Amino acid sequence: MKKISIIIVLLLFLCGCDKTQPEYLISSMGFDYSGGKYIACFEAVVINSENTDQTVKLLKGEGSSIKEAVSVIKKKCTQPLLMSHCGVIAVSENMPPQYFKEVCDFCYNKEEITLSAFFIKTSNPQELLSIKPLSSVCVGYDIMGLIKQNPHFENRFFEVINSGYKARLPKITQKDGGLYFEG
Amino acid sequence: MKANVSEFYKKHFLGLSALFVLGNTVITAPKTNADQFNFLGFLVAGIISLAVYFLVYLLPFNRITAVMGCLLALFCIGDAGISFIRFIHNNLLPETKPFFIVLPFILVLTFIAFKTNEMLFKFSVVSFLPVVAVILFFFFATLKDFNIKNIFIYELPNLEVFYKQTLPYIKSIALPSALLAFFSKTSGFKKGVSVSGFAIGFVLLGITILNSVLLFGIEFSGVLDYPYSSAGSTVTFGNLFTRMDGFLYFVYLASCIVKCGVGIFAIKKSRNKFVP
Repeated sequence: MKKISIIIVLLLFLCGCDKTQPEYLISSMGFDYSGGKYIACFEAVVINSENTDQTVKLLKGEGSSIKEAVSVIKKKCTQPLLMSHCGVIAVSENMPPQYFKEVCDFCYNKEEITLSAFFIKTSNPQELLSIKPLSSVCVGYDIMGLIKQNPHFENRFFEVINSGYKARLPKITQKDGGLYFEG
Repeated sequence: MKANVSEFYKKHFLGLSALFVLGNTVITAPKTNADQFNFLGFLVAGIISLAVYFLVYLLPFNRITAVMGCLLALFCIGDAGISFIRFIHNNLLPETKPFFIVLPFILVLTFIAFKTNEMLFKFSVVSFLPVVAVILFFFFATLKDFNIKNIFIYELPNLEVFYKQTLPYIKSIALPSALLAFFSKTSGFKKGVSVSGFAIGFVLLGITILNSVLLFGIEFSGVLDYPYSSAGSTVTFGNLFTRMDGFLYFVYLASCIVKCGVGIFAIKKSRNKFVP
């Protein structure tokens, strides 16, 4: 009986993450469509249990499709990309609706990306995700903190899908090194 | 001696019955083509399941019912096993070859087959409380995002629509309830114990279905491959605790092991009718 209890308790911890080798934890993603090309940028926190210093990198890729743009990013990395902790997905405010749906479909087909990720819009996702974070390790988590203080938006991934991809997304801009809601 | 064993393991069998009902349905319901009448179909399937249970419990244990028990057991083991392996392959280990996912599962079932059913009873009673705690935790953690209008019904269904919504639950709850009745009777447990466990499991399963539907709406829940897992993934604490759905994998593992285990021991009991 004792052995079985111990096994059950250990099974509860199966959901833990293995951090023995460095991984790129994607905290936020940005998507834009310009000049006939998709631009994807990922804010990645490099995590390694042997090194307590955390490095944040902005990874960028371009392509004729979102998949191709993301493949370009993956090719630049020697370590696997961990998308399961992505909290924010920023899209360009000028992105046409059909391309926005493609972004949503891409994120939906990536089983790792949770349905609780927040969607926001901004004038330039790459610029937004490259600013220096103020209160947490990366800008993505700063944005999450800002959104949670203003919960009246229905901009989580599953809410965006349920709205038929027509949800009103909050616009976030950066000014003087800080993050603000606009409009 | 048999009466003492069944008296001693009453609470264990209650937990086993509850986990058995959860089975592989806990993470996959509601299924594709679910509509606003899906939960109504679930409730009706529950009533049908109870009727099936009592009917099967009344049947004598002879060679014919032993063969039926075996067939039901094989169906339950296959259904739960394939569903669980598919979930692991699609969700957790997509880049691992299916052989390396199937093999550990087969080894676990083989291990169970060589043990007595007391081991399954003990596993059930130890898993039951954590499973209940996890299901209730996720329900209350997602409560703030619920949209109550997602379960409103604005018209009555016609028979054809109602049948389509009830049928998936007939397969996943009513048929296995026949096996539960068979196993309960052949193990010497009274109806009351497993019916109580069945009721608890049914309520827990209802909570998991409502969790998905109230959060995502019925149409989106039906489109998702594993609605309950997706619902659990929306629970976050801070910035880094974002994959709490890992706890739901334990619920799925425990309920699938119990469902397969009941099938294995039902086959062993049935074998006694043919082999002296």
